[in-house]
Amino acid sequence: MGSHNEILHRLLDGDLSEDEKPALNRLLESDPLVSREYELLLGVVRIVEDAEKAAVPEGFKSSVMRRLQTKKRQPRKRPGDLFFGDGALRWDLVSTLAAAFFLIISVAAFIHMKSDSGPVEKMSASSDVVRTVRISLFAPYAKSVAIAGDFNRWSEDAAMMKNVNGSWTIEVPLKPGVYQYMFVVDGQGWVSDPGAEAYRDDGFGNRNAVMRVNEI
Amino acid sequence: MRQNISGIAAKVLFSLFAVAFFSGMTFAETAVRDLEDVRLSIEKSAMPVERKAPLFRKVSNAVSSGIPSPDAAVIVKRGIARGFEARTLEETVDIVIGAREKGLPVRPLLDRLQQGLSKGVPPEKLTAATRRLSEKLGAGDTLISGLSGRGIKVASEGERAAAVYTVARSLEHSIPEEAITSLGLKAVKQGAPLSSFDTALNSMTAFVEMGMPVEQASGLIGKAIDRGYSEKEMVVMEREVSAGLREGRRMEEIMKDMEKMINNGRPREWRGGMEGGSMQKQGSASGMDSGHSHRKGPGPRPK
Repeated sequence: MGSHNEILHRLLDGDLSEDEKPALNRLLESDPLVSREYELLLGVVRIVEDAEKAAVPEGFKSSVMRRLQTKKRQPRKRPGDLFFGDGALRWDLVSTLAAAFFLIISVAAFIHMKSDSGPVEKMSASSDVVRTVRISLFAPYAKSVAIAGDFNRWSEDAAMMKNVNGSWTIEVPLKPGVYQYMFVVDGQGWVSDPGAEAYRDDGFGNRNAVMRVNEI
Repeated sequence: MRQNISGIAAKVLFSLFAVAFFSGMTFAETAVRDLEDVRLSIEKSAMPVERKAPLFRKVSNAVSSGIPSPDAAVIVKRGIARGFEARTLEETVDIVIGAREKGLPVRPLLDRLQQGLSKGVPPEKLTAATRRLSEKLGAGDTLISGLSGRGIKVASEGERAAAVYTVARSLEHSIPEEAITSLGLKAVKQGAPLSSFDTALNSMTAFVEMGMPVEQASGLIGKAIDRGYSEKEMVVMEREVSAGLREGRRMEEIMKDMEKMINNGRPREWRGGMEGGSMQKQGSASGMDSGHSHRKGPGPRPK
């Protein structure tokens, strides 16, 4: 109905194209409600057109213009006016919350990056160096082997190992530090590296392998 | 509700995106992307409709409190994939937010959650284990603050966080707080930095994990500190115990040998020296068909 209404208004405003007119005529013939609405609107238009036009008082235009000039916007004096002055950006609740949220996470992220990144255990002092570590598992009957550890958020499929004659190998770029990991065999079996230099309890009764990546 | 969560998220994300775009901050872009991922995962999930918006709100709160968005996203998405209930996921996120608010390191908690979810740990067990770790981190924080008050040198916030986690791990293995404090005081007395205490306690905890009684582990590490062992030398001690067990030796035997070695010299003089030792062979991989592993590293790959 909303679209009929819009078409009727366009017709009365003289904005309807010639192509649209046949369709409207068909609609007016077929739908008595639309036809009635059209008649009512047409009546309103006629009343307005027939109404006596009142003359504008003398000096009205100059009076309006004078008032508009006194309300002229003042130039912004301070940078903060862009956000908080008259005619500044509009701050609704959602925008304000979002901006606050953004600021908080930015600051928190900065703090976080300084104190909370990297492996669970410690990193060495100059942690910008990245070393490539090759890790292998001999598993001739496995269909797939992945390595999951604290360096890849324990993803079961982010680091799939390559099989060469039953020896599954992967090279992982890591910063110096102490890392924990396990192998995921065939997508479900979690296997500790039998050749690891050390192990750590994972808090659930399993043993994670430990590898230390040195700077040199 | 679907419209509700979409509406809220769309407005927040759009505004965030706009702010992020204008500021050019990569981090905010990552957070926006991760939260959008989380929102989609929650929407697509089979969890009750009325639980979806609260869960999304909880994750947003976590990110705004400083929890890295990629970690939060991994936990929620993995939890949903594992069929965790929304309430359980909210509970786990709450534990992390609580730790963050107390100023505790959250990386170990995030790691435990991600690891547990990946390994298919049941929800109750995972929540309990994470809550327990959070409590122990609190105790660890207090203990490290005590040592700081007594003058132990703390090089960085990261070093402190690592030490807090090590204390928490020790407490989880029922190593008495007195034994840890005693080790810390020994380090303070010798003017050792916090990182040395961390390494010593790490090795001591590893000994206990491998089956060494707490008293013996404490005694061996205490002796090593008295002799001024370096952090690397402590690590070698740990490797030696691990290698001994792999060779099939009994713990009593290993302990005796180690005590003798500590009395006679430093780890450099032990078999193979510091860099050699444990990079040896492999047995059968547990849970696999007669497999075995070989690991080259962790040193640099020859080019």
